Amino acid sequence: MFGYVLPRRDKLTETENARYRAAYCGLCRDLKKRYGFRARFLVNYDMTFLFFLLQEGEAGQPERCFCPARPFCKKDCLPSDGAMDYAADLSVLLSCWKLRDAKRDDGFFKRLAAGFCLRLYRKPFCSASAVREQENRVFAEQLARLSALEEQNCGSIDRAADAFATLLKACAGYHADETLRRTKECLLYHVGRFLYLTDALEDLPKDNRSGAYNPLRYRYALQDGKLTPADKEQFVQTVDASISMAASALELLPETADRAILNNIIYYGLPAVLKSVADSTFRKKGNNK
Amino acid sequence: MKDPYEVLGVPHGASEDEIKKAYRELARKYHPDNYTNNPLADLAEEKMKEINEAYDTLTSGKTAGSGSASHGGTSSYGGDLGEVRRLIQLGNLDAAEAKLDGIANHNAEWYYLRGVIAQKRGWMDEAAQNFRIAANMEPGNFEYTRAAQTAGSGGYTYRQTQYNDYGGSDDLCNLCSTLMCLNCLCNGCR
Repeated sequence: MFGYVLPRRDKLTETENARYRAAYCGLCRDLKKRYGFRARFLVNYDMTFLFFLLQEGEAGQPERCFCPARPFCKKDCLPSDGAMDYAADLSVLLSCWKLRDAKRDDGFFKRLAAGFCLRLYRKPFCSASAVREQENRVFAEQLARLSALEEQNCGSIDRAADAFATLLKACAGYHADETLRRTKECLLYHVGRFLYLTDALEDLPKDNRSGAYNPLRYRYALQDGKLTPADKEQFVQTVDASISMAASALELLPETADRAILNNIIYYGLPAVLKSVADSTFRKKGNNK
Repeated sequence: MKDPYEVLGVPHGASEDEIKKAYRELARKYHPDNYTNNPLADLAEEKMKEINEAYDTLTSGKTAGSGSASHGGTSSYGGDLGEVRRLIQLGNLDAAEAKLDGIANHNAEWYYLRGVIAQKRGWMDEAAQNFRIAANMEPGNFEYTRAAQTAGSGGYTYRQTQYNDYGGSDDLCNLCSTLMCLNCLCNGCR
């Protein structure tokens, strides 16, 4: 995935930090349990957020578990539950769709690597898509829609982002309760918009050099391959509006055990990531504050 | 009915000041103005109702202040654009857009309604573009000007809620009275 949905660690308390890490490790362990060792490499922060978002009722207490990355010290892991399993399944699906995309678009060596990985993850992908059939169908549909828009060189950033946002919205399908699902759909739609648009902003210089599709190239008149300061301000405001919409949905959700972490991600994490991408400082010097 | 103390998030036996403070905080968070053109507006309204009822119960029937100001579209519009407004209100955005596309006369209201449809979908960039066109075509219209000014913020003031620590009652009064004046002006224009 993108790695943009992060909390601001400095604003988390010690306990919250520990729980966030335990959820990440728990997701990694759950991936291994469900899909074998190789699936451990698919663990990511975006899906850790999804786990916290889907969580309901009492939160599980962490257990000590083995970590192959640091074999001599045990780690705290949150126990597997419905939300964790769901996040693990979708990690596999989304990663594989991303690989398929890379296999089509990127340079020769990247295509080769993506093809190799796809082969490696063929079995996990097959079983995950069988379990989450409906979500996988939405992913396939929306990504096809996105490629069609890319081919037309779509100049509407909203329409291009809509395809990806609708894709992420499907992740709220975990809930059967209508109100809960609708609220989380709205939240995920705007997180999806945030992801797509932030990614477009970060990739703009690269895409401009390679000539790859980027909605910003068609929406704004670029100067030396960059947005003018006024356009950039307007664009950042548009993305910021999506963070606001996500926050407005979050406020309507019932309290859960790890709500403070969710609040941190939406209220502090996303704005911080957006700001650092806009200033081109993201991923340059240890972004994991 | 839910426990009113629980709804307001205060302990049982909280003082009147504490209750008032909690109420204000919540009323600001779920105020209809924060959820204008938001697909979850109905849920926010329900929440607001719950908060108002809880506050009423705890303060033994005194009125709950300005928090419950309802913000609704007036439906006294005629013609094709009136039909579009009706469809938007029903939440049938695709039909509203199709109807709008069929209208040849692109006046300020036409662009404004296009903006509303985009905003309801969460398409902030197109919403802002259309509101700006509408406001430029009819500079005297408060509805359009206000939409053009606030389109970029997504309506919900999340920075206000979390980042700033503003709690003075003067601020809140000013905010409310400004909004009330603005509301009068908007309605007066129609």
